Amino acid sequence: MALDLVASLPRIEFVGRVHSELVHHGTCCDAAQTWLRAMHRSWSFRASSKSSGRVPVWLKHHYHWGAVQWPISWCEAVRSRAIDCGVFAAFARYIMQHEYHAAFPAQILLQQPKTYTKQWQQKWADVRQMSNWIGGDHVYHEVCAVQEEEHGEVRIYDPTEGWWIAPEFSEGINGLQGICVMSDEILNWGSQQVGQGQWLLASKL
Amino acid sequence: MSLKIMISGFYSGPSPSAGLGIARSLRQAFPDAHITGIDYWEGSSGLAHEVLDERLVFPSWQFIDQAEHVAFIKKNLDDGAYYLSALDMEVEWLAGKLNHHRLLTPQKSSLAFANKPDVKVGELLPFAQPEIYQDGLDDQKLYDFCRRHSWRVWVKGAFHGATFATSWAQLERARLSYGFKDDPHGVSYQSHVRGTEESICFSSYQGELLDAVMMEKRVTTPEGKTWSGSVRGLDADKMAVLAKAVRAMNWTGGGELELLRDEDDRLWLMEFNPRFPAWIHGSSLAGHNLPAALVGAASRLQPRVQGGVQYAQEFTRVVLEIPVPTQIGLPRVMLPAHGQVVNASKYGRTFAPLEEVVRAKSRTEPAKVDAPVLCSSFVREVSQVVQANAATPERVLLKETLDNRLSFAARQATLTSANAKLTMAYSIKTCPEQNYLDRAFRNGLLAEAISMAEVDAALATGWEPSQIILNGPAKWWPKSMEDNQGLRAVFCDSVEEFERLVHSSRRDQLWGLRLKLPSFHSRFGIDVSDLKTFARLRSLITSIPDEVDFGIHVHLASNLIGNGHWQDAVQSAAEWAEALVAGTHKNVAVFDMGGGYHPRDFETLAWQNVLSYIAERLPTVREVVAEPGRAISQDTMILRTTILDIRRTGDVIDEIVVDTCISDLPLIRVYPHRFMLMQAGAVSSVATGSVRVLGRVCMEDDIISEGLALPQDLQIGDQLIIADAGAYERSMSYGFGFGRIAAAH
Repeated sequence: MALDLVASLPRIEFVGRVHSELVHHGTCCDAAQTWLRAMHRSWSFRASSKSSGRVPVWLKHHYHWGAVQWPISWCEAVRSRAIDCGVFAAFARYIMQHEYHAAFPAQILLQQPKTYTKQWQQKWADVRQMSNWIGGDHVYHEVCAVQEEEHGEVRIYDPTEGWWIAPEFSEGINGLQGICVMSDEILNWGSQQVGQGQWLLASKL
Repeated sequence: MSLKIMISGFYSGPSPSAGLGIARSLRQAFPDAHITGIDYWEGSSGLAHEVLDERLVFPSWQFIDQAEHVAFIKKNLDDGAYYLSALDMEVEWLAGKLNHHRLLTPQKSSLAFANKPDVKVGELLPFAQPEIYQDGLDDQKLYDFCRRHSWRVWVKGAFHGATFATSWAQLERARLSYGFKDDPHGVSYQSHVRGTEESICFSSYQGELLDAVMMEKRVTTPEGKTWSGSVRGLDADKMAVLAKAVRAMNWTGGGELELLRDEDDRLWLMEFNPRFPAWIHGSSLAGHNLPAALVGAASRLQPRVQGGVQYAQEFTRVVLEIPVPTQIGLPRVMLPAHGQVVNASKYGRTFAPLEEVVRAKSRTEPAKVDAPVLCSSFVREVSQVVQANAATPERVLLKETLDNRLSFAARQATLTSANAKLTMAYSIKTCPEQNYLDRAFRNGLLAEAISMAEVDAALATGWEPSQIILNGPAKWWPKSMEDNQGLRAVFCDSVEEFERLVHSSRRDQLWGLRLKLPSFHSRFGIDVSDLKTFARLRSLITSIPDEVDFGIHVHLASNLIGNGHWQDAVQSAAEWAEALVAGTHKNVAVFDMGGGYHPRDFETLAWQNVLSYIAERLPTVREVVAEPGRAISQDTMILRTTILDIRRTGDVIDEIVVDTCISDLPLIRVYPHRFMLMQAGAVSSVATGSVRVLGRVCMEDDIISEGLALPQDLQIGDQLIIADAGAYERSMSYGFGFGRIAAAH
C-alpha cells in the first residue's frame, strides 16, 4: 500500500529502486577502498573525542554534492570532486560496515521547493545525467540507516549533509516525507518501524 | 488591581539578555498587565520595544547604591509587583539580599546547584559531564589535564566568557583576560565535547516544575548564540527526572541547562544558567509559555490561552529597526581611543562593578596559595646539586633523574608482542651533549638523527650504522645521499626524496616514509590524502630493492597535541601503512612512532598496549620504534638564576627581574616550568601567583613567568630555580646580551 502511495507522486521513478552500487574493477578499486578507510580513521578522532567515530562526517567536507556519470567505479568515485547522494551513501555504508557497524541502505523522500528542483533538473541535464530522482516538489535521496548496538534501534544518517535525521516526518525545505530501509529485519525508528524495503510515508501522502 | 511585572535585562545585541523575550511572552499571556522594563544602560535596545508600558534605566553598577536599590525592588514587591531578572549577576546579587514570594528568581540555597564550574545539578540529572580542572595554582597538573584532553580545553571565567585553548600560550593569555591574577580560583578549565547544541529550559515555582522544553539550536551566530531553533516538549522520562531535581533545589524562576549531544547520542551537561534564556519567546511560540507559567503560579492568575493560534515548533530571529522612545534616547558615541578600530558597545562594562560585588560575596576566604608538591627525590637531588655561591645563570645537570629516565626507556625496550619488539632510539637533537649521548648509548638505546652531522656524532659516540635511524626534511646535510650508508632506517619526508632514494645506488637496511596525516597539522611528511600522491607512493614502494625493507614513520608530539590525539595519530598511521602496501609485494617491517613525549606521559603511557595494537594491526611489523628525547632530557636540567631587582606597587611586590632570559630558555612560554625559590640555602616549591618575572635582556617578550606566588620578604640576591630546563631549552639556547656575537657552531 505504501508503494502505491509513492507511485502516485508525479515522476518519482526512483522509488522502489535498489540502492546505488559502485562498480569494482579489482586492484585499483581495492586501493580506493583502503584509502577511504584510512581517511576515515584519520578523521574519526576516537581516542581524543572519546566517541565511536563511526560516522564519516569528513565525507561532507571532502566532497561536493553534484552529478556523477553512472555507472561509476570506486577508483573513479574517490577521485571525483563532486559526488551524488548515491556515492556518498555507498562510501559511508562501506566505511561503517568495514568497522563492523550495522549500516543499511536507505532511501528517503524529501520535500523541496520547485525553485530548487527546477534548477537541479537543469544542472543534471547540463552533464547529461538523468534527473528522474526529482519529482516536482519531492526528491529521492539516498542515506544510511545505522543500527544502534545498545538499544536495537536504527538512526538515519545523511552523509551528503553530515547530519542525523530525526525520526519524525516534517514539512518545508528538506522536510522528511517518506523513508525506506533496506534491512532484512524490521527495526525500531523512534516510535515507528522501518525495514525490509517497505516505504513508511508521512500520513498526508 | 492590574498585574504588575518588572523585568530586568533588555540588552538585545548579538549576545542578548532574555528580558525582551520574557516581556513578549508575558504580554501574550497577560495582555492587561503593566510591564516595566529595567536595565543599567540606555543602549540596551530591547527597552525600546513597544511591548513595555514603562522603562526604567539605572546607572552603571559602579554608581548603584546597593541598599537603595534593594529597597526600591522590595517596595515594588511589597506593592504587588513581580520581579524577574534575566541577568546572571543580578540573580546572584538578589539571592543574598531579598527573599520574597513575588521575587521570581532562585534563592541562594538553590543557586548552590548552579554555581560554576562544577555544576552540582549534574548530580541530579542523567547527563554526562565534561571533566573540569579548577585548582588553578598548580600549572603542572593543569598541563597534565590539557594533554589528557588532547589540548581541546575551554578556559572559563567566573560568571561569563569562555575561550577555546589549544596550546599553553593561548591558555595563559585567556586566563589572564579572565582576571586570573586577582582571583585564580575564579578561572576554571573544562574539557571540550564535540557535539550539536541543545538546551532544556524550565520554569519552576517554589520547587514545583511548571513546564519544560527541549530546544535544538539550528542556526547560531559566529559567537555561538542561538539564532534559530526547534522546540519540543520534554519527554515524560526527562520531565520526571527534572521535576525531582527542581524539587531538590527548591527552585523558583527560569532555568536553562545547556547540553551537547555527541556523535553517539549522549547528552552532556555543559552549563546551568539560573534564568530564562534569550530565546525564551521561541518556546512560547511553540505553545510552551514558561514565563507565563511562572507568573501564573506565583499570582494564581490564569494565563490567557489564545484560541485558534497555530503554534510553531521552529523559531528564528530577524533584525528589525524600531523607533527609540524619546524618554530613553540613545547613548552618544565615544571618540575611539588610539589604536581602537571599532567603538564597541559598553554594555559589558556596566556590570564589571557588580561582578566584583558578587565575586567578593562568593569568596568565603582569601584565595589560598598552596605551592605544588614536588617529588621529594627531585627536591633532594636539586638541593644536592645547587651551589648558592656559583655564578648565575647556571644550568645544572640532574644525573640521577637522567639515569632514571634512561633506564626506564631501556626497560621498555624489552617489551614484545607477537613478532614485534619495542625499540627506543634517543633523539640526538633534543640534547646532543656528549654525556647524554654516552649515557643513551650505554643504556642500549638506538640513535635517531636528523642530519648527517648528527649521524657522525652518533658514530663517534660508538653507535654502529645499523643502530642509527635517519629522519628529517634535510637529512643529508651537510653531506650527500651517498654518505654514511647501511643505516638501520631512513625515512623520507617528501615523495621527491623517496623517488631519489629509490632510484639511487644507496643501500640501507630499511627505507620508509614519514606520513603527514590528513587531519593533523604538520609541516612534515607526505600528504597521503592526495590521491595522486597516494598512487605514486604505492608505485614507488614496489620499486624498493628486495634487500631493503619498508617502514612507516609518524611523528606528532604528544606533548603538544595531547595523549588522545597522539593515540589517534598512531592508529591512523597504522591504517595508512596497511593501505600503502596493500597489493604490493612489500610489507611494513618497522613502525616508527617518533618522539615529543612529555616526561610524565612517557612514564605512564601503556607501551605494551601500543605495541600490541601495532603488532595486531600490522602483523608483518618486527619493530616498533619510539624516539624519546624531550621525555628523557627535559627535566634533567635546572637553571639557577639570581633576582636582580624587585618592583612594588604600593607595598606589594608585583615584578622582579632575574639574570636569566629567553635566550637561555627559548621555550619558557611554550610549556609550564616548575619554579623553586632558594632562600638561605633552603629550596621550596613556588605556586602560580601574581608576581611577574622579567628576564634580563631588553626584549619586550623576555618574560620568564606571568605570575609566581613569591613571598613579600623576597630580597635582591635571592635565587630562583627553574626546572624542566633541559631538552630544547638547552639545545636551542643561544648566547645573547654578552657584548659579543656568539659562535654559530
